[in-house]
Amino acid sequence: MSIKLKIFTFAAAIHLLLSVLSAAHFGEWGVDRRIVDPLYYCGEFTGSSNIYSFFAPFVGEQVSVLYTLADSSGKQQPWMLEGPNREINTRITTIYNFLNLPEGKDLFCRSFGNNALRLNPNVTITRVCVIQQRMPSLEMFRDSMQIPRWEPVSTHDYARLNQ
Amino acid sequence: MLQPFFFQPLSPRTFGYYRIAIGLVALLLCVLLYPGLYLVFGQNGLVIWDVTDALANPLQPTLGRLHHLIGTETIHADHLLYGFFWLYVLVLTLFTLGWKTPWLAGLAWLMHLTVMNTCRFGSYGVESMLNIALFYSIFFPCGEALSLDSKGKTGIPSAHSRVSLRVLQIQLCIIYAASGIEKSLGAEWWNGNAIWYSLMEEQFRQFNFSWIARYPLLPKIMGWWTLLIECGYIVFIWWRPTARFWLINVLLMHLGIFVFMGLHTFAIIMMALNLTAFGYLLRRPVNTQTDILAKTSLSPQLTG
Repeated sequence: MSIKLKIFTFAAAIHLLLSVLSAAHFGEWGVDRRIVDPLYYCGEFTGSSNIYSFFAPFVGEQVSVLYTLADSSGKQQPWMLEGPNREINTRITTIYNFLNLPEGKDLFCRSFGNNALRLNPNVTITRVCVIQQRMPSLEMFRDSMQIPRWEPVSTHDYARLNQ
Repeated sequence: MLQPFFFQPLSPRTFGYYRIAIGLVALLLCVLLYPGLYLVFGQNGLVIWDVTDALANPLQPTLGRLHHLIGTETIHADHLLYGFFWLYVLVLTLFTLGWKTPWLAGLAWLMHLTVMNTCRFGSYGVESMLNIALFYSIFFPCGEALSLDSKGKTGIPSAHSRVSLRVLQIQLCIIYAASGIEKSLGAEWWNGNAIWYSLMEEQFRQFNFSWIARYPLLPKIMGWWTLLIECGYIVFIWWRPTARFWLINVLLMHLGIFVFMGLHTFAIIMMALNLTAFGYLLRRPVNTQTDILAKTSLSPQLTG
């Protein structure tokens, strides 16, 4: 076996070992952060820090944003941000789902408000209303006829500064 | 026993297909994202660069950081975004054609990483899988077949190809085992609600599946089937009597994700990875008379 192949095999084994450790939530085992963090940072480049928890352990409730736009005359209209295709809409919903993180919520809402004002140049004020889809379980839907419904979670108002 | 499993020479042709498949998926993603490029990746898009950079790992490349590195006065952020995008498309095209493959694979991986981190909060499974796949392309013998580098010839079978194939196969086993075990820890995958939510939530909903509530056993069985396929992959994809059955079921699961959840590019890349890693299971019958003939013949040429 050539040296090159030995190095490749050894590196591949280390990479796969890191993948297994990350998938097993190595970071939550209480190991010293000085060991975990470099491995995690390295894994963010190679993909070995992924936990592969696609729709696991549960399918989270969907979060979305409903905008209300107002122009200088006071006229208001509701608005939804929609992408030109399914792939872009998937990204928009993925971003919206980060509103579930309390620490980032304010920053994200500001960013969404900024985007709404950018896309609607005549608008002076935008209201960002965070809504969440409450999905009844199979049982509740079948037995008590509860239907999926959207509920408001929080609202945030942003005004254009240069007007 | 482990020696032939990991090092028996293998033709690099599989990795020619791998490179083309990964390159085409990445290019398809570029085509689909182009109409919303600014919205998803722009400096003042849905998530502004300042927010992304503030919340991202400090060592990771992003377009915002690249902009600061080049100098915000040197180039306008929008020009950087579109210039970077078209350069990425060019690199992916050359990578798919197999020109200077390891170098362009490295460049494509780094550029993909930058794109992925710029849209960190909007990226999902397809970006993660593409990151892994492009990273592997640097080290796998991707340019040794079906490429401009190989000039139409296929490289000689090598131990490097065999190890690469095993790495990809083991990586898939890790992915499905982790995903399956994690799913099995939640009650939703056992009582059918995970399937129900996946089909009914607005973000995934492609058809009206409300009728499925009248047949609760159906989503329950679909949940169990998903758990069985994912958790069992690590064992049954290697066992001859079940290998092909397992591969077909995994492909069906991803086809279901494509059709019923609308996660098209994610489903495509997972199918591509599975077909590269275990596609040989579909090409010829397993453990049949032909196999026995091949094993017992004196020369491989005699069996055709």
